[in-house]
Amino acid sequence: MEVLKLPEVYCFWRLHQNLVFGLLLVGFFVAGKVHAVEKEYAVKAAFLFNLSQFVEWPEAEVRKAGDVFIIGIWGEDPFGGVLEALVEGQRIHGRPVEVRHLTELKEVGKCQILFVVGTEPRGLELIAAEAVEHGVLTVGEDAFAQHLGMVGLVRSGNNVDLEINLTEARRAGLTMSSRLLRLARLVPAEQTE
Amino acid sequence: MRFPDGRFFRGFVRRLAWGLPFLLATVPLSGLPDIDYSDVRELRMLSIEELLQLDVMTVSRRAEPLSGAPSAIHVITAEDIRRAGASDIPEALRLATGVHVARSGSAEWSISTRGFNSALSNRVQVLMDGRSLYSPLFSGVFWDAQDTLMEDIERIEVIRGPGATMWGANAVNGVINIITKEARDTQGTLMSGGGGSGEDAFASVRHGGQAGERVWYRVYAKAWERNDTVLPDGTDPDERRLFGQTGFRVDGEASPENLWTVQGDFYDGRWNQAGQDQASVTGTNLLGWWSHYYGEGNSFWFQAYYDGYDRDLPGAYAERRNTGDIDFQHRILLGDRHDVLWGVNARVSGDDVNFEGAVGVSPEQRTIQMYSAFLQDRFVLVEDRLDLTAGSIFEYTTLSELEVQPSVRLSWRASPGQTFWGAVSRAVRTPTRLESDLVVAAPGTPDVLLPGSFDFESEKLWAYEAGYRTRLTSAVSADLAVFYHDYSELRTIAVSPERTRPVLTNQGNAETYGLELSVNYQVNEWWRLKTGYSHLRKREGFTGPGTQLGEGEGNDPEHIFVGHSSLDFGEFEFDAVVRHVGVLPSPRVPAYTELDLRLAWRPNPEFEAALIGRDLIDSHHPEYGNLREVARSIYGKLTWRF
Repeated sequence: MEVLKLPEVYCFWRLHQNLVFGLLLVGFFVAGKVHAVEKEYAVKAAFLFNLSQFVEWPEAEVRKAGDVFIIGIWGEDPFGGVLEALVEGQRIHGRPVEVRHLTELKEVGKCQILFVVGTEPRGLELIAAEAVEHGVLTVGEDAFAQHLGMVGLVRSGNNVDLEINLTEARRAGLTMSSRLLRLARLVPAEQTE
Repeated sequence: MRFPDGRFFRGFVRRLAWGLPFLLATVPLSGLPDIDYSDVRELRMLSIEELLQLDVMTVSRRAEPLSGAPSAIHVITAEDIRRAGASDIPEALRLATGVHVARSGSAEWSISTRGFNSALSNRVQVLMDGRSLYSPLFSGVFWDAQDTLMEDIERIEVIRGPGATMWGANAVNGVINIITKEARDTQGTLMSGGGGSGEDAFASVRHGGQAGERVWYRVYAKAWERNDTVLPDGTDPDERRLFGQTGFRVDGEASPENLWTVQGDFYDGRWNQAGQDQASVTGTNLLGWWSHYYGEGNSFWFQAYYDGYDRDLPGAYAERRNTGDIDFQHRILLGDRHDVLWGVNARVSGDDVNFEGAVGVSPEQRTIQMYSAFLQDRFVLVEDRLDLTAGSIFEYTTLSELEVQPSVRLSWRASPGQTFWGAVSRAVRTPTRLESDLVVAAPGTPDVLLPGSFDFESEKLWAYEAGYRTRLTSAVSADLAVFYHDYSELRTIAVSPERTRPVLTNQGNAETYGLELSVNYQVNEWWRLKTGYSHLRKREGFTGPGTQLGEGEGNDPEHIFVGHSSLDFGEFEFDAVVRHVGVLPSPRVPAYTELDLRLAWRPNPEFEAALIGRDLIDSHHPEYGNLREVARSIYGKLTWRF
């Protein structure tokens, strides 16, 4: 075994370990403010963008949709611009991405992904019916996937979990990759109220 | 005279720095650097696996794991375990960078990190779901009794370096956290079984369901029989092991802010010992915790557990132990800059020990109490760039004085996808029951040849570490850690002219230094590579008066390499794990390179058939000591999920 030769700097360090440690602790108490960002929704926006890679839309819908991949938001926009920034200049399945804020039910059918804001969105049955008919992937929050939604981004403790209602997704003609399904909690359809 | 060499690490208080519920979902996969939420480029680069791990509640703008980035950490995921075909926890640990797993007998492993591995190695704190797994008798882990359904392991976190306040444990060289899946992630029924050479036969079944709208449960049972070690000449001494275990877990959400868990296991195992009667081990544990979230990111957590076991090794010793532990932790976000965590822990462990032969303890029954408190603050120094974590744990046990173990860690996000970190920590290894109460007597006489001593002090460590994590491209990430450990007051057996017999003293010192490098490469859609290399150098010394009897502790390789390749093609999966461990100096064990292969067929998510080969290169090879060698084994496994 070779003998370790200590450089002089290190000798100083060893002798004054406690002092250095104390100095670091002093620097500790400098006050300051940090502006917090809504992390939860930044993560959910990233999910929306990422999920699309693992989902296949039915052929007919892809042809009808044409050149643009549309992510629709139903409800008051919680993303604060993060979603638009995330998709800017990006392509999903080869198509440029657009974010739309929806106000009417008939716009639902034009989207490929629909994000439904909030814990108890109104008109869920109608939205779900539109989504199934036009092959739209619906993503929501909390118990969304347990009530007619396809994908739920659920905050649990300090993280966001993924819930997938495969039955609903299949009804809309969507296929999900096994890699995605393995990571998600699958919600059985029987649990919907 | 057989003297149990090796570390008698006693980390009575395990401090999971951020508490189990926090850790449950917040530690990143190995190599995940801190990211800036406002930097969408970074957000885009994250995979779904990484998004699921992000903590959305911490104080700063950064998406950092709650448990803290500034440490050398490797996470073995559930997928790693499944793809490598690891059938027990020691086998899974071989996949982590910098962990030396050495099999020395049919039911004996030496597992350590950053050196000082030995037959009773313990400078590493090991926990399963917050429950400490070692015996305070000699602070070692009985790996033969630590089992669970491998499919129910969520991940295994391996932290190299002093755990202390950051990761909680009074752990000198490292911490291993085995975390099982939440019950809601193990719903439905799973059945698996198989057999072959070495893994003679095994079967397990697990069922998970709901017992109310927000209550999930699972119950499982497993049994196996194994015989995979041989004598150095290749003959089979028939030291087959039989093991059965059953357990349950219930998770509940009284409300989104109030989570709780109750879990327990019972196991019974026995194995043949050449030339002796059969050995047996049986144990029970029960654990419960409750956590409450309030405000914005604050939480507190309360846990209690009981762990009892009965080990009987005819010809060596018998130990019966009952342990009770209570733990409380509180996390508070102060202002926008401080993320404070503090906690208290109390543990009581009573034992009844009987040794045969020259080595023993006196008294043979003892109850040890351990108390500790810790405080830690993560403080943002420069918004979005630099943060400092400082804290300390204060520990008192029946066999030691008050020990203080501070740690300071700095994390610097140099640019998107690149993080540097550094840490200075003091860690202490408190005396164990064996060191305090040791009696080594000449057989048949009352003469004590080597007494334990209440004067035996804690061993000390000052550790200096630094690391660099980077995401080189969206497909490649790398994680480098370097360390320098300065040990003092290490246990020695010393003789001197003044003393009539040798005594246990703290006259040893040592320095270790090295590096650990992990590189992950997602080559393309269907091929992934994970590699890990570690390098270790060690120098040991002895400070007088007197002379040392015997050698310093630990028998460690200079190099450890592990590489895991995962291929997907159609319904098939093909995995290869290459493992290389360098020469062990003394007692000398030659270097070895081994290969594990797994070929699996998964026609649908419900069914999997796998053919697994382990240690395929040599028909048998030694890993530690010269009594037993690990034999090549090939077996098949079928798994149904429904």
